[in-house]
Amino acid sequence: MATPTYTLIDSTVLSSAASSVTFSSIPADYRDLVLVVEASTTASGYSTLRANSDSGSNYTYVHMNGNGSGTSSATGTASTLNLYPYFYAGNKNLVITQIMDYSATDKHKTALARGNDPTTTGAYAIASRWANTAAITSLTLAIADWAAGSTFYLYGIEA
Amino acid sequence: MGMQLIETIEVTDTSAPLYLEFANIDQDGVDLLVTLSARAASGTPQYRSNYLWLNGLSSGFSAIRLSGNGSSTSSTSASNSYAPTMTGTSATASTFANAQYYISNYTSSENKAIALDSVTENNGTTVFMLIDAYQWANTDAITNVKIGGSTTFAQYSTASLYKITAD
Repeated sequence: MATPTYTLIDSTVLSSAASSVTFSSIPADYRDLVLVVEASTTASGYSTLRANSDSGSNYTYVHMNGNGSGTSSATGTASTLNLYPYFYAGNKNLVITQIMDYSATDKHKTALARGNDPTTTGAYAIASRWANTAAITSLTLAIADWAAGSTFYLYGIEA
Repeated sequence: MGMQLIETIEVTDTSAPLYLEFANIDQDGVDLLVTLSARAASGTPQYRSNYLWLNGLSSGFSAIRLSGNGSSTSSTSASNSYAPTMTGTSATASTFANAQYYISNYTSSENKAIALDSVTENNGTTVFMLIDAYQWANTDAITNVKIGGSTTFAQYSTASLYKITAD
């Protein structure tokens, strides 16, 4: 059995603020995807992570969160794979998202994300599902705006 | 290429080292991943008794933590680098705590972001599951990672350091 490994598919390091980052033409060569985002934003707000540009309410999620004074958990339907519940302007966030079986065409796609904002939002984990059997060929992360210096790395994990 | 094992440290005897340390870390990666399987060489479960040290420092950290113990959850803010809880000698034999640190952009000249996931379990009677969001307010590239400083490690404890590269 081959040793599972990370292979970089694509990366973006922003030299100036941008409202979205898209990884397109994602090859179907791997088992899972890992998206590592270390980012801050120019304004506070919710981000979106959409597969194949699907902006419909086709995503469900459950998350848990600890913000330093309390804990919470919720479920819901959304128009995005929840990358992160909320970005506070200027706070650096590290979000690691694993998307399983992204190229399969016989199942909905599921993702697990771990997020870290040690200043405000805190530590959180999100499990989400995209109710679509299509292979994921693109991922778009959007917010107004990703700040300069934000880094986005997309890896494939070999089976 | 991709994800490469840099080094694994295993406590092969009963010397009970105070630190598990990775020195002279390559500077050609993007991120670091540290995995830990650890048991304390003494006592009851050692709740957050050790520290993560970067470049020899256990200062400059801020964190928000989320924990669950099987019956309740809690969240706290902190300004230290507490490492995961470890099982101790009074715990069921062969039970070890597990943890994973993910350190992004470890060579950058920005403050460092760190995610910690860990679980400590003693035969179903004592459980700690922890996820921590860390920042290390230091702009130096990370060249040294060590865990410890307070509670010694039992035999068969291991730590592995991986680098994730962009090639």
